[in-house]
Amino acid sequence: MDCDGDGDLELSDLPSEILVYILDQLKDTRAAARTSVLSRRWRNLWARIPRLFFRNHQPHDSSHVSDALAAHAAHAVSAITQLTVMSLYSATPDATASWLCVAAPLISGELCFRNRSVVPMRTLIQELDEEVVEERGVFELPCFPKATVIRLSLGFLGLSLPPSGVFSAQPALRKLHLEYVQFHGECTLDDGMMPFLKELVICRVRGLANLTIKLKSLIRMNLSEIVDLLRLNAVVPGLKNLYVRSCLYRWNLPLVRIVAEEVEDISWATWYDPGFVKFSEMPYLKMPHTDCCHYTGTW
Amino acid sequence: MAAGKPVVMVTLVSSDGQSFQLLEEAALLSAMVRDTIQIGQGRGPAGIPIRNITGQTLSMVVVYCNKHYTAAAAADGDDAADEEKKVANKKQLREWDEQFINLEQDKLYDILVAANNLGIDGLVDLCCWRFADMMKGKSASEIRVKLGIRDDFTSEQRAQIEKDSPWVWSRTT
Repeated sequence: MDCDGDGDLELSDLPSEILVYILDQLKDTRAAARTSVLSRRWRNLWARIPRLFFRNHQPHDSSHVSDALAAHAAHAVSAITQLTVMSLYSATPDATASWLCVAAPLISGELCFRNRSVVPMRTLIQELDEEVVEERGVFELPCFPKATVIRLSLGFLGLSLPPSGVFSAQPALRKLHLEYVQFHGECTLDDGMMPFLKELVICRVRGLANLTIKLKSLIRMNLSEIVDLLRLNAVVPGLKNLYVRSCLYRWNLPLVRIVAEEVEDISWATWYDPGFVKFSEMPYLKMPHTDCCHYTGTW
Repeated sequence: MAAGKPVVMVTLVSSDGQSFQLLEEAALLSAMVRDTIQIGQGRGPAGIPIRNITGQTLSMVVVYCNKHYTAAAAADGDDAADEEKKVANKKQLREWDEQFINLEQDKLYDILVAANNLGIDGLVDLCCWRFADMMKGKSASEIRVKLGIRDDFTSEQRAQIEKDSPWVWSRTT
C-alpha cells in the first residue's frame, strides 16, 4: 500500500489472500463462486478457499456439490481442509454416494455431512425410539485417504462400512463421529480400516445390534444411545477415556466385553451387571463415575 | 493484571502525527509491534511510527486492542473450570466485536488494511467477516455497488463465465 491508508482504494486492491479470506467467511461456496463475475480480479478467487460449504435442497440431486468439487480441484490451488455438506431434506443414498466419491480423494482435513438438517433434534430423538422406521436406504462410505476427521449426522440414513480388506484403509483418519445413523445389524471397526483412529463417537444410532471395535490407537471412545445394542466387543489397548451412556438395557440381556488395560477414566451411565458386562484389568483407573442405577459389581 | 507487575506503556504514532498511548501488553496483539519491541525498539518516548495509518483509523485499532487485552486478562483471572462463564464471556466479547465493526465500507476498509499491516489476526478476521456479511444474499451487481467494485467484464464475458459453471447459477430450490 503506497497510499495514506484512508485514500480512495477499493476492495479489489487488497491482497488476494484477504479477498479469499472474505470469501471464506461467507461460509457458502456457491455464493463465493458467484463473485467470479464481479470483475477480473475476483475471477476464480473462490477456488482458493480451503473450506467449502454446501447446502443441498434436493434429495435426489447433489450434482452441484460434485461439480463444485471438480471445479475447485481443476484450479488446484489449495487442498480442501474442510468440506461441510448440509442436505436440508432426506438425501437419497445415490445422491449422497455420488458427491462422496468425488470428495473422497480431495479432502485432506475434515468432512462433515449433515443429512435432514432442517429436522429439529427433538424429532430425531423421537425417531430414535420409534418402532416403525422409514427406510431411507444405505450408502457405502468410500475411502478418504487423506481425511483426518469424519463427522456424519445422517438423519437415520443407512450407513455401511465395508469390512476390513474390502474397505481400503483410512490411514489419516483420527476422529470419527457418527450420529443419527441407521445401521443394519452389525458394525466392525478395526485397525485394517482405520489404523490410527484416536477418537470414536457413536451417538444416537438405530439398528446396531452387534458392535465390534478393535482399534489399537484409540484413546477416547464415546458410545451413547446405541438403542438396539446386544453385543459389544471392544479391544482397545490404548484407550484412556471410556464414556458409555444409555446403550444397555437389562431386558435385552446384552453381552459386553471391553479389553482396555490403559483406561484412566470411565463414565458408565448405563445398565451394568458383572455377569454380562466384562472388563479387563484396568490398573490405571481413577475413581469411576457411575451414574448407573444397576451398578452392582466391583471394578 | 497481576499485582506488582510493572506497568509498561507504549506509544503508537499515526502517519498524520497523532500519538496513542496504550499498555504494551495490549499493543502486543500486533505482530508488527511485537517484532519492533523484540529488536529492542519502540519503548522510547518517540514511540513506534505506524506508517500508512491515519490517526482516525489507528484510534479504532487501539480501542480494539484495549478491549481484547482487557478481556483476555480478565479471562486469565477467572476460574478455569467455570465453562459456563467462559462461554458467556466469549459471547459477550463477540457481541462487542460485531457492534464495534458495524461500520460502513470506507472505514471498514481502512481498518482492515491497518489490521493487516499491523498483523492483528483477530481484527483481520473480524473485518473479513463483516465484509462477507455485507455480501451475503446480494447479487453481483448489488455487491459491486455496495463495495465499490468496478466491473471490467463485457457482458459476453460474464455470460461465458456463467455458462462455464452452471452449478453456480442454477437454482436448487
